[in-house]
Amino acid sequence: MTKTSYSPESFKAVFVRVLNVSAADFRDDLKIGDFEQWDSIAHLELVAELEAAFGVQFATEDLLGLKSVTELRARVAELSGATT
Amino acid sequence: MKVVVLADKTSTMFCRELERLLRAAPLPFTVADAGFDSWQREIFSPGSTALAEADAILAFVLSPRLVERPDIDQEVAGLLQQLAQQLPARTVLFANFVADPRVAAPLLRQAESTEMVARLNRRLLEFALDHSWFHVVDQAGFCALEGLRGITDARFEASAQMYFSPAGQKRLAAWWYRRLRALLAVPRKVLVTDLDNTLWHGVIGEDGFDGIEMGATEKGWPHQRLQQALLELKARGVLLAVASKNNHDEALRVLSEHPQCLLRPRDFAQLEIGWGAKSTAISRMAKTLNLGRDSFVFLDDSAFERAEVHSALPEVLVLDFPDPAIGLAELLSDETAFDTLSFTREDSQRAASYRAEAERASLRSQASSAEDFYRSLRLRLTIVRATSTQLARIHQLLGKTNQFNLTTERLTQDATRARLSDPRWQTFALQVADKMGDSGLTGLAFVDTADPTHWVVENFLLSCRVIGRTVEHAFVEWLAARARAADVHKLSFRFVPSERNQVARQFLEQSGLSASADERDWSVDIEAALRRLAPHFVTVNYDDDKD
Repeated sequence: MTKTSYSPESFKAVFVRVLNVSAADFRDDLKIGDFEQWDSIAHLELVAELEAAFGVQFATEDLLGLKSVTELRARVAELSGATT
Repeated sequence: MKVVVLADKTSTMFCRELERLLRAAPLPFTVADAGFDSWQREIFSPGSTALAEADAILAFVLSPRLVERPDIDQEVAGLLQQLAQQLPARTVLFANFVADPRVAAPLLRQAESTEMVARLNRRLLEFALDHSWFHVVDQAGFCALEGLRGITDARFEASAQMYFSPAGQKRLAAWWYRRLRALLAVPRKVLVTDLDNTLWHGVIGEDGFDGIEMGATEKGWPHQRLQQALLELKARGVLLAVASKNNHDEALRVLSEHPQCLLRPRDFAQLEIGWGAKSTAISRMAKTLNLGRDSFVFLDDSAFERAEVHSALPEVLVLDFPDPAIGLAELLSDETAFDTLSFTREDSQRAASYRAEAERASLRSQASSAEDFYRSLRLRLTIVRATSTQLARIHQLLGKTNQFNLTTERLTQDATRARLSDPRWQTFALQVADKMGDSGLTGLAFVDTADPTHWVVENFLLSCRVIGRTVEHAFVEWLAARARAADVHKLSFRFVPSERNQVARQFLEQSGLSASADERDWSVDIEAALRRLAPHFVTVNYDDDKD
């Protein structure tokens, strides 16, 4: 996968693709469990896909520890050196 | 059908990906995740999915962590024994084992672990040979190919007990998907290859014997790897054939004498080297080998030849030729058309048997009459009562035989096993031999004797390799004699037409059987069958201890 530079839009693109939700249903305040397919396994898949897309690596405790769009986005931005 | 995934580690992501691939195919499987550490207990506990659904396929997707357990040897042995006793004849796919070399250990300890893994895998293979319902999935091969570093991630193992990383689970699912697909797919049987710029680099007619390359040179190497892969296919029972536009003797000399050529003329069931259309050559092969054209796969570097074969014979699978040619080296390892999970003694002998068939065809064209030809073959038909030790081969025949198959009923392995042990059924296995060779078990007949005065042949089938040698008529005569000896008054054959079994119908007509109004039931006039000038040139042997 080619590395993408972080932006809220590119984050959203990975999110809707991996969790198979429509872009219209995406909201900034979503968190794990908000819809049926976002369970802990799908969450791990999302984390792995975010890592691959943005070329970043989460700490072990972040894999299941970051539970919302806001938290995930902030960490991806931080790790990829972008400003939010 | 349901695939129940039994694992030692968390494999939910694997299951989801597998289900996605199966649905996209589409293949009629759904996937159930039996969960973490389910590989030993889950299946045998009351109320388990695996026990509840009799036709569920059990997939043991195991991780290299298991090898670190001190008693894994005994644990696996115990599991296999339990499977055989409690879930007989259930389809099982079982991952073989591999050691994770990153476990820090002195070399001596590592050597012991390697030996232990080899022993475990050997045990799995032997179990598979003894139990036709058990298939080994080469997960060790998968790990070697992908490299453990690329498909594992300690963070995911720590937080969710996933041995394989998310990316690794997806790759592994694709690997298992291919094996599941092989459970249902009918494998193709023949690979027809071109010569110039396919089996070797260069054109024999232009570059000459010393100018073509297929050795350890930059240009030759991909072709050498292709030849090696073709030899592997042959060992798995796929037939190889050549269709080449060339001067016959010049091209044949390369196959016979070229020091770098791995393939020799005897490796090919058919050699068509000349100037005719390749589609004509393939049609001729199909006729000689008695195989449907949908059994053929065609490999050729020329876009023109590929298009010609594809338009004349759309049933033939025409492979995309890799560009650049370096892709030849791995072309066949990615090809799924020949995939099959079961492997029997007959598979490895198939090439020799088809070569004999080609020799028979040439004898036939030389003989002054059909009868002379049959007589010269010195045909022997051996009939035995089938037993469960032949189950793997019987099941394979039931699954693969299309042309000479009276009903095309694909019995499940369970149903076949039940018939073999039920005294109501007389199941006969036919073995055909002649001066060219022995075909092995190539025919089957299920006779329902529920009504002691009226025997019904529920199905009769012959492998295409032995059709056309009159043994089918010899069998009818033999069965008529057996029926009369048992005071049976009526003997009939059931027939269900399919798109491909016209050969079977012709047999019923030629044998003088009379059809019922709906043509589903064909009766034998027992006395007439015995009086008929039955094929005297077939020697029939019957020996069995059940009688």
